[in-house]
Amino acid sequence: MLQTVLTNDRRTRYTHTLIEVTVNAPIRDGDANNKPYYDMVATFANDGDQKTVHHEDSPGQGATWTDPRPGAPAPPPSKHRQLRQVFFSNGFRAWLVARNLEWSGHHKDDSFIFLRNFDWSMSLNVTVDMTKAVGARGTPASNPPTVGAVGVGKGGGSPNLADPYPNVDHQVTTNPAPAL
Amino acid sequence: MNAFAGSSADEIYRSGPESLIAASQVVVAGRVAHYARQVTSESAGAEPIPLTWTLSGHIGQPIAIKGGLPTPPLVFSRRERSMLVPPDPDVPDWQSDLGEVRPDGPVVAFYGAATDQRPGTVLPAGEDPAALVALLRDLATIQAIKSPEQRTPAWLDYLRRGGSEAGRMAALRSLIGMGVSWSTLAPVLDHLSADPATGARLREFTFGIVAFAVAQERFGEQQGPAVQFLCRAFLAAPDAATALMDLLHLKLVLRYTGQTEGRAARLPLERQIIDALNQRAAAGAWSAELAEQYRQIRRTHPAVR
Repeated sequence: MLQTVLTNDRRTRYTHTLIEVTVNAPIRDGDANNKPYYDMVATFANDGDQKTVHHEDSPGQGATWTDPRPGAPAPPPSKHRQLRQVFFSNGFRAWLVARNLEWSGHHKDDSFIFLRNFDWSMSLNVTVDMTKAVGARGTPASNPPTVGAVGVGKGGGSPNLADPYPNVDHQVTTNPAPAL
Repeated sequence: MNAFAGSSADEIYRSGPESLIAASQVVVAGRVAHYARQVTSESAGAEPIPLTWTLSGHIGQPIAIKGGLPTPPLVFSRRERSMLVPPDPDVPDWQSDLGEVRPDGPVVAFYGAATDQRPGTVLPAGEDPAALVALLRDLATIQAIKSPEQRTPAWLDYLRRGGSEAGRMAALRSLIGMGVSWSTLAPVLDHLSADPATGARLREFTFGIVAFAVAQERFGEQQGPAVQFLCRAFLAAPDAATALMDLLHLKLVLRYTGQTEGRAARLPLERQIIDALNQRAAAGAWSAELAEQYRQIRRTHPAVR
């Protein structure tokens, strides 16, 4: 599978601070080990050989309960330096591909046969209430992803096959923000 | 998979502290001394904060958990990153969840080889270092049993009466990783299911690891009884949240049974699950999230009511 991150919104809001994690989308998804693929690949052994490919993703974004910005106003009141909101959305496109390994060395971009494609996205925008117990502070606690219909072939757009990937090639910005 | 994310969903069923112990010839617990931290990257913006750093120090008051104590001083370094940035794809989730090493804090160091000058991995020992040391020592003791014929009952015994959830989870991973038969495992899992002291987290873990093992055909010709176990647990789920987690795992098994190649052989498993889903539906009183999951399953399995 190939997967590209199309959209990204990751913001963590404290009472007086906004922290944003951004990437230069569209960006290849995966890691340094299996590039340009998203995950492990299956190799055909013979003519007529069949392989089942499993594709899964579990986007994650962490936040601390306490504002890490040293210049943020300290308590009291108790709401100072508290985590208040988390905005977390990503949009993806995934492709099921077969690759001609002989071609991949000299015609990298033309070596894929695009078999299927689909878009999917997730969004979890959480309001945090620090007066509640851990485990009950975030509302909503979950939100199901949206998975589009599976299309035949390549569909619209092209995968990003470049080396950078979001877990490493991202930017984090910390700024003071109006009080909540 | 670690794409802009955490690790593969089944990583918690494949690796844990026992994996690191097995890969290490020497494991040492102690307290950090001479703590030093060097920030390697900061955020942009008006007020930067540290994002990644390398800390270094010595391990004082060392206690051997596995192997002999290395020659002092026990020097180490460790890369850490803020929770605010996407996770390090090279660090398993269970290690990231342990948090940061603190000055003077308790740590456990894992040396790949007895001759290594520095540990390959150093982990914070958490709020209850004595409990972690006891757990690691238990795991190392069982792993040291050379004969699989003796090691399997030791893991089963630890699973049955292990002192902590983490220990029982390690035992389950180890047993399934060793290829234990379902008929060997089932009596202990039935015991855990019937025990009111078994917590929700361990029940959820047990359900998930059995579901993944079924999907990976770990139980050979005993897949049917393993699926029966899952169906019984799903029907006995005490609340909607537990039922939802169970159902998500059953969807994984349905994806496995629905694969085209060799599907006929898996149809009996699929029928068992569909029967259980229909029984649960007939009982009513489900949440909106459960109803949505049923709606999705009906698209591919119209026999589900």
